[in-house]
Amino acid sequence: MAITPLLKVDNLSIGFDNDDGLVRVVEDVSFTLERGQTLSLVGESGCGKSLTAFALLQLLPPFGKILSGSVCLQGENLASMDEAQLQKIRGNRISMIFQEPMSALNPVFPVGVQVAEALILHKGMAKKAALKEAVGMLEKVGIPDPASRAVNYPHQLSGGMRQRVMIAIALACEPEILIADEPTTALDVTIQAQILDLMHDLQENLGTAILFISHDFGVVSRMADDIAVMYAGRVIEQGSSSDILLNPQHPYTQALLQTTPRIDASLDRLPAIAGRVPGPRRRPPGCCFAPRCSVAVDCCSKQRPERLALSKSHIAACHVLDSSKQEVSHAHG
Amino acid sequence: MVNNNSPLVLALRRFTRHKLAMTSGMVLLVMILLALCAPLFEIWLGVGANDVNLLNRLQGPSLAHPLGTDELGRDQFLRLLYGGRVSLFVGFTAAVFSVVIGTVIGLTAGYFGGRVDAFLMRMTDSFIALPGLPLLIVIAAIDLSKLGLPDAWVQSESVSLYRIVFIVALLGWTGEARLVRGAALSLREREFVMAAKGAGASHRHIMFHHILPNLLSPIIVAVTLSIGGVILVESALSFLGLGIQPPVASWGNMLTNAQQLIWEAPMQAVYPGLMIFITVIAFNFLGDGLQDAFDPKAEY
Repeated sequence: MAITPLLKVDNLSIGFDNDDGLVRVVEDVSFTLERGQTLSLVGESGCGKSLTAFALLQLLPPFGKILSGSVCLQGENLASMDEAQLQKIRGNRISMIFQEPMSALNPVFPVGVQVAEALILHKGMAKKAALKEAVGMLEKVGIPDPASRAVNYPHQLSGGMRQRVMIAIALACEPEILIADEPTTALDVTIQAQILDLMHDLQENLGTAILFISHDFGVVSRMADDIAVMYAGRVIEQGSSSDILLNPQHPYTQALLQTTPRIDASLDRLPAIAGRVPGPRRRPPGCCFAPRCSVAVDCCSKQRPERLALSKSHIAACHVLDSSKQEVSHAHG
Repeated sequence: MVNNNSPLVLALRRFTRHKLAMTSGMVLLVMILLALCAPLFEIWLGVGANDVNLLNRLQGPSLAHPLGTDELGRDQFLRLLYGGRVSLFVGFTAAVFSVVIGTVIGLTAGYFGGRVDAFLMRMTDSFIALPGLPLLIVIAAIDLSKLGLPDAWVQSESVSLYRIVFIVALLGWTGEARLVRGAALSLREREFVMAAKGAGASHRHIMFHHILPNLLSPIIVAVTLSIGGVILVESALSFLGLGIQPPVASWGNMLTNAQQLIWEAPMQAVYPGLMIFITVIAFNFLGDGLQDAFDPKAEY
């Protein structure tokens, strides 16, 4: 019997049910996450990355719901849990950090109190002890002079400090999984590097698994062990970090990688992918990327491509992929 | 270490620069102090506020009676102070009660939204639709002893005070409920609420520990502004004879007494009228000043 993975997402589909009827926003997303590992979800805005993350915590917006599939934390299906059980998991076993640390912190409380809150909620600590522990946490995330920073309000801290505070809150209860939803997008580049290093160090010390959501391959390449590339609600290519970065197979992944600025190439203009991601209601019947794809063939616009296993770790969904490779992978089973 | 930069401290610092509001605050502070010290003035002047002396009717200001006497020879100054106690007490307590009711209802409606919101807000609308003054008159006319309340309590002097507080709070919470609901509706969409949910906080915890503290400044402003309104309602009710019952003094019933003697002793109407005017306008300026001070767009 195989060992139960820490987090297993199986054929997860999410829909929005509003006045215009049901629309499938995220379709058939599957991945697993192991202790101490980093999986990165990459894609353009509006392709369902964040929604997938919120579904893991069962925190979809009121009109969103999980249509099929499951999210299992060590074999327990989160979708079948009631609110009280979920509250024990959120912030305790799975926690989340957000893109914009200013808006994710409550403006009327000192940051120390906000770190302590997680400890009071989940560890049942007394307020005084929790505040003391919170200062320790702030020190761990590299905030200088943590005791005097703890009584500061969010507006008194810089963007990088705030994101450190968010990380301190998220890691206060030593969760098994940390979901980071574009944690460095709002920060400038030097601070971004510091925050990524910090997350990396803490991951090594605490053994936390990270689900890292980003649109930036530059950031992803520093962090990820595995990468799943999403487009229009589907995972179109998935594999180890080296599979995706060095041997991308899907035309979308290739195009996306080309848009990442490189230090060794001198270009006048950065290439861009023409067109935009189709909205959930405008998705074509075939491959969603077909209208923007430079190598699309006839069947691309008619038929959804199946996911093909290109190697043991590498999966892609595209009609154009070399047919000989397909046969090889089928032969592998 | 003391932190001098909490949002409240910053707001108070801005408030102190608001001259009109500061002056109003001082005026109110003096008024509250004088009202609290009313029994001391009784001792000092050697008469009680309700002591009738028919030989001393309608006298002008003198050392013994700083503001003169009324038609029963009672000291006007003392009666104004005791009237101020009533008005300020009713104003504060009724405003606080309405704010508590309004906040709980508005917060619940705004945070949960949907059907809860629809139900609570229609209930609020129907309270607003009730004709205020006639209802106040009906409630004020209820014979409390028939409701099975103890006789001793019903006949005590303070019962009309509690009755007014009850009536005003019963009808006054609707504005606060709408205010709080609107603010809660926008706050619950903020990312820190999502972050709190993601940290495993319960609905109640989010409502009272995350959203309510963010509402503190509009609530403080609303309380301040509504105190002025409550004092006016109390005066109106007492003026109509439905509020504070004589011989207990209130600014409203002092005005009623002054009515019959308006030509002989005009100052009898001017004093309580002026007190009501000053108090209400001072509370309004104070509220305006607080509003500016709490304005999130204000400069630090």
